[in-house]
Amino acid sequence: MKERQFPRARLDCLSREFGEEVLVYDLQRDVGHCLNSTAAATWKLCDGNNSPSQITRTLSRQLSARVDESVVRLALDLLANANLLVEPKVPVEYLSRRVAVRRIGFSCSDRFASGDFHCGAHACPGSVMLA
Amino acid sequence: MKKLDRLDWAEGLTLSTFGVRAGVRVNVLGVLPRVLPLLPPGWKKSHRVIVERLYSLVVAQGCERAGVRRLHLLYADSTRIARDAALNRVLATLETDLHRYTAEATSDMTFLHAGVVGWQGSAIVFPGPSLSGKTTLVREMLRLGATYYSDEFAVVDSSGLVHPFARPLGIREDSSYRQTKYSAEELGATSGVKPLPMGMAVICKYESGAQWQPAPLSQGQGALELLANSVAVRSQPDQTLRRLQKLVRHTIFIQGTRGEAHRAAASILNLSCAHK
Repeated sequence: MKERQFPRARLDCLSREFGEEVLVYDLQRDVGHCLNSTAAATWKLCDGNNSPSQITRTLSRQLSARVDESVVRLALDLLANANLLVEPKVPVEYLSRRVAVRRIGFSCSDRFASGDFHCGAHACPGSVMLA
Repeated sequence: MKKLDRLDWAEGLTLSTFGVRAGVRVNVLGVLPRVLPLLPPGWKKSHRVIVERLYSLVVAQGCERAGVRRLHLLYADSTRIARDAALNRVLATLETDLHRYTAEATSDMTFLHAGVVGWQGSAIVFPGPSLSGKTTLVREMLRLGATYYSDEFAVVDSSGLVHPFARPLGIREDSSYRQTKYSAEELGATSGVKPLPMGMAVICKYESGAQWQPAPLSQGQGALELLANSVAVRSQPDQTLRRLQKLVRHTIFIQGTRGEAHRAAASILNLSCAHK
């Protein structure tokens, strides 16, 4: 799991409430997602200023029940897999050409060897790829 | 387009449907009456000259000769969309393209790929793409006394009511893709006129021999299925979501795999009654 210190929800998605759930439409990928109440509440608190533990505390207050941080982290993972969070900016690491070539070589051979090389989009659980 | 405009056009008409204006012109007299039944239900003649989409049907003339095939051509604006020796197939393309264009271009209504019947004052909707068995289920519902609304599109207005799009049902008699058209009246049913609130949405797929055991679906998951079947979600995402929100207010969603349509149809109507 990538460390997300201050997760931020993508602002370029449309969302509407349907009962306790929230329907999010990703305009860029043309994919819809249905968030349950916990995922929706977590997503709304992802403003780039709250850490997972702060989100957990706020959620506990909102729901008047103790929420475990692992639940929030799981929700954040699912939101990230559904591309509903802004990707954290990874600082650019300058490598020498020799190191770079070696790393790229390892990376490619690993992927082909495991047979886990995918192209194109894939749907996450609870989401529907729109035609 | 200029080349097309230079041809001799024998007759044509401008039509208005769901706020979209389209034109059809043909190069041979007497062909236009064959086009009229293919136009979207509820279309009206318009006197405006400027249209958003113009169909040009070039009917092949002259007798066949050995080594020469005479083909009918259909253009949507300047793009050729059909070229076939059988005029019926070209006309079928005209119907499909015009209905699809209307569904995409209108902002008056939101179109969802779905079969729709009216039952005791509310609409039962079966969202699904082409070849998902919508027409078969709708036909069975009509046999059980439901009112016909559509076998292709659920047409939703800004207040979330479902309007009829009662084109003739395209029934596949055998396993081929060829359809025979029947009006609801020919099947012994009636067509709906009044817009209805959606009471139930049924998400189902066909599997030979499957037992129909539907499970409830949450409002959000159901709305997600409707979103996946909405025609203009890319071009009008905000409007589509707003209308879906109104559409599903009092809807129950069920989901399952159905076997033969007559069993599922009876069960769905019973469930709908029980819900009320």
